[in-house]
Amino acid sequence: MSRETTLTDHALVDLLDRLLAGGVVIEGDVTLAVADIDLVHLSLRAVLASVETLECPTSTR
Amino acid sequence: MPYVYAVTRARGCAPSPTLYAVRHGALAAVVADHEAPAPTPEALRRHEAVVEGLMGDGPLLPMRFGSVSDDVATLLAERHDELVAALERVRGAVELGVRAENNGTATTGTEYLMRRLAVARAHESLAALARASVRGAYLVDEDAVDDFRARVDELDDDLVCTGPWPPYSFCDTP
Repeated sequence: MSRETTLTDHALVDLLDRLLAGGVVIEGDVTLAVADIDLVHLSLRAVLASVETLECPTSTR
Repeated sequence: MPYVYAVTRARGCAPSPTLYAVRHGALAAVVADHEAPAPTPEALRRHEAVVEGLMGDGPLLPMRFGSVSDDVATLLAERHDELVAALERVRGAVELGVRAENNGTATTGTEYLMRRLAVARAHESLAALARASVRGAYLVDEDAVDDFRARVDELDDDLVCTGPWPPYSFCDTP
């Protein structure tokens, strides 16, 4: 089998597509499907943080 | 809690010093004793490297990134038959991805749609060379990979074929 691409060649977008959206999913209470939730969580926090940063200086008015 | 990389057939599962197998019936889960890493690009690449390292040992079903379980044996027991069937569906095949080159850097809506159109137009011709397909991913016999790549090249210069990947997009069990 030819392997024309190597690991470092994988674009991040292709890795994200597969590792976070594909694969076998463990179901039930032994599950911690942390990755995709963490990503959403982190991006929400980032947005919230920047909104706070923006609003804090004006909150004393 | 053990971190699970893949499900394989029990026979042929030959883990490394850092990986071990949890077996049940005809199945083995390849696991490691570490926590689920934070989803950084480096962690995704490390995870992928481990799974790709297992690809030569027979059919495997990659787990989704971040899968941990303190009772892998029960997972294998409860879904034994469907996981065995899923392994047989991917035996001898790899996943290839097809997308527009520089995906995601389209600067106009028209450009983006033209790229989507190129992928859609190629689909019928590519699906004829694959066992199965889903959302730009194709399950292709190992010995048909070169033909598939050649077909992608001849269909459209702007299409790129990625992989071979473990069959991430073909793990669905009923």
